[in-house]
Amino acid sequence: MRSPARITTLALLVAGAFALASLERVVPNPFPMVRLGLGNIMTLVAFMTLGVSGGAWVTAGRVGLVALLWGGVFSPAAVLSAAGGVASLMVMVPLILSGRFSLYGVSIGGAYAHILGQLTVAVLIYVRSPGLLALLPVMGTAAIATGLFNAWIAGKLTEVLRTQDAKPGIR
Amino acid sequence: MRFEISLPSRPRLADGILLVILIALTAFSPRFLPAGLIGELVIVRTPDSVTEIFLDTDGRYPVTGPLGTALLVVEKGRAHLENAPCPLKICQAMGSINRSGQVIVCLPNSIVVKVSGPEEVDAVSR
Repeated sequence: MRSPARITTLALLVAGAFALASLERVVPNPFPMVRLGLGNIMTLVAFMTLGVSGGAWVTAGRVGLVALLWGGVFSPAAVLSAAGGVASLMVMVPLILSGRFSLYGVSIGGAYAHILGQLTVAVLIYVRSPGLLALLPVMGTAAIATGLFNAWIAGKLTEVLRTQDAKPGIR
Repeated sequence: MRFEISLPSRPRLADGILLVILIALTAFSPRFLPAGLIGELVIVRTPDSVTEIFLDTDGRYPVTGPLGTALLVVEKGRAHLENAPCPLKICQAMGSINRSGQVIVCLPNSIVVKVSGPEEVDAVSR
């Protein structure tokens, strides 16, 4: 269904994801290895309101925009961000389709897949040494924590969207 | 393509199971990795050069990438980077390394520092 409401909602969520991802890059982070992954909140909201394809579009849109605006389509940062995006979708979509998980499971599964995808590509392309996997305890802990946090925020946000008078693209 | 999905916003049993699995994976991941023997030297790769630096003598070595020069500090048999010119300083945050296979990576500045252990030295031609 390509209703104007659906396309508008999708565009807003992509813009929101891009803004959150950009914010995260601009704000100084004392732990550079750990990302909050706030952009994924918008992907989760898209899953809730627009279905599986909506979430996939928001992730793809965010990764593309961030790559274009924040330095080089094929820069290491962009390649790693794309690897994380693809990996997280490859986990989140099956988790959703299984029908057994809530927002929380999908969110932490996606966050964890994101770091595993990034580490894998970093090891295969850039570093060529499995030593980088030593970062897994730190990054994994962070992924679980941020995944839970993002699911909570996305749940609240979806609640607000669903109680609005103009229900944008809700199934 | 559109799927009808059911995605509750309250946690379910499967979420808890997934959470436990991921926590276990995170907690036990160091065991899956070979600990590595104490290395003898570090191999420093920049876009222009590959240099070997022995860990048994302390020293400070400039390492230059596209963004500028960082300082590789060797002391007490361990190596770490200082004064990195990259924006996020992840390479500095990776700390000091001394076991073979351990790496310090600076992607923005295209620097890779890898510890080479006794078992790998045979492969290095001099």
